[in-house]
Amino acid sequence: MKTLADMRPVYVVGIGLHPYQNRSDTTYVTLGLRAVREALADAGITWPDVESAYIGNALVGMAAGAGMLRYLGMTGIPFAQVENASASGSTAVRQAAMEVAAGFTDVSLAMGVDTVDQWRTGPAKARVRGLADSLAAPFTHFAMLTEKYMQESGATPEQIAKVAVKNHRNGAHNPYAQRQQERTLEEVMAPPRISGVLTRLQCTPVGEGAAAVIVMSEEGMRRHGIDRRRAIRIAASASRSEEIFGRENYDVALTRKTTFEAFEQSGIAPKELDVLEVHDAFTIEELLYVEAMGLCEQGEAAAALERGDYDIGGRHAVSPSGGLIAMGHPLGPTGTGQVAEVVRQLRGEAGVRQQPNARVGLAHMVGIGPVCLVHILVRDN
Amino acid sequence: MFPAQAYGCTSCGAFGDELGISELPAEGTLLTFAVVHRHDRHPVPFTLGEIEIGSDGPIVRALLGDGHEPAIGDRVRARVVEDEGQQRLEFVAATEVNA
Repeated sequence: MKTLADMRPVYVVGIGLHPYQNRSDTTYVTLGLRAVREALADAGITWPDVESAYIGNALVGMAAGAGMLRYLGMTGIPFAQVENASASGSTAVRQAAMEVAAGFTDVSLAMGVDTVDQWRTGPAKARVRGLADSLAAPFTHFAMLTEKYMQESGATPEQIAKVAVKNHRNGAHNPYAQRQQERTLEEVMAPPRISGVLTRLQCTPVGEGAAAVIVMSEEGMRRHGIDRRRAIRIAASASRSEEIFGRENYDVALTRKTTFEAFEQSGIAPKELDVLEVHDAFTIEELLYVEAMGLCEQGEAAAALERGDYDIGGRHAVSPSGGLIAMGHPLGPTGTGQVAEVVRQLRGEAGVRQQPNARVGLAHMVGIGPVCLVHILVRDN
Repeated sequence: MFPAQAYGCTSCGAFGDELGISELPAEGTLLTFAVVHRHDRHPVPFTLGEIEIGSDGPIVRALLGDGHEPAIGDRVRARVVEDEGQQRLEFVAATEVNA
């Protein structure tokens, strides 16, 4: 099987977002166009320069891409809408990167856009019923994992809530974040309780928004006069789905397998990661995933977080954007938005959220399926 | 695998006549749980548990009945309860059913 490392190099050269926000009357078209226009301006190119587009989207519906991108001027390029649950935007990035790497195009757009809408999932239509499927919302799934983690690692509810304190602090400085307010530990732990020890501020707010990235080959960068110092290489793209993992929790096992595949593709080791954007829809996830990724030993993430290892300025800045907890999780955009944040960090353009001397970054999403996508990005110069 | 379905085995892909239905013991071990405070339709709070059926059986999620403070590792047993004219399955501490 080939990987990006076997093909011609691919770079992210433009990033753009529409801020993630609470449900409003804004159409998905307005959200999406703002993100794409910002990404084009950031790259210093125009829409006719783009040769293909992948649109990550979970909720809008059929032909969402065409219904939006036509207002940039109909240039006739191929569109494909990409749905992969919460990882839709990550999958759009992967598809665009593979197309450029393979030489089909030199300039491709990957984006994600969604507004708040009813979830219609395939598994729910399969008519395979457990004993209590409708009672196990995602927050309850993760509340049960939290209980188990506390028992096995000895971590306390306060230590778990500190993930949210960090991520709200990061989000407070992110103009694209849905929640831009610092929160104390007391505020994070205050009611309303949602499930188990998880409170409202430890759960992602699902809202609306858009994110876009422009990916290019070196040929495309030459042709369009791209400043190489702001181009960030996609060193690995790994995408996997569930397999038989035995007794281990599948989110954790799948994250470990996918992340280590990305490490192998890129030759990057966990300790080299300066910046990570992880799927922290619920506080417990960040702890479980950074352990699975090898940032620390099993059961030690809560203590490492308390030491400041995952703060901006720490050993690895984890979710400097605010993550899903503070930046938000509008589904389609989230995975693309993570890549945009990692690129901003690796360029050194993240302002007060900047992880010093960031050179290597990772973006990680999981989604219903379960599926998992991991991208590793590297600043070469 | 649980729940029973006729589409195909999620482990090996076997389908059709190769699949059969087998009964499971109505007891197991509580692996984890959560007291749920928010739900669109079901009255809250309720407690959802993750239970390993038998000693090496499938892992199921089910309601835990009132009456005992759940703890990871509890032996639990299923019982059928009437709830507003409808039957539903819930798990309670194994000792409670014996008593």
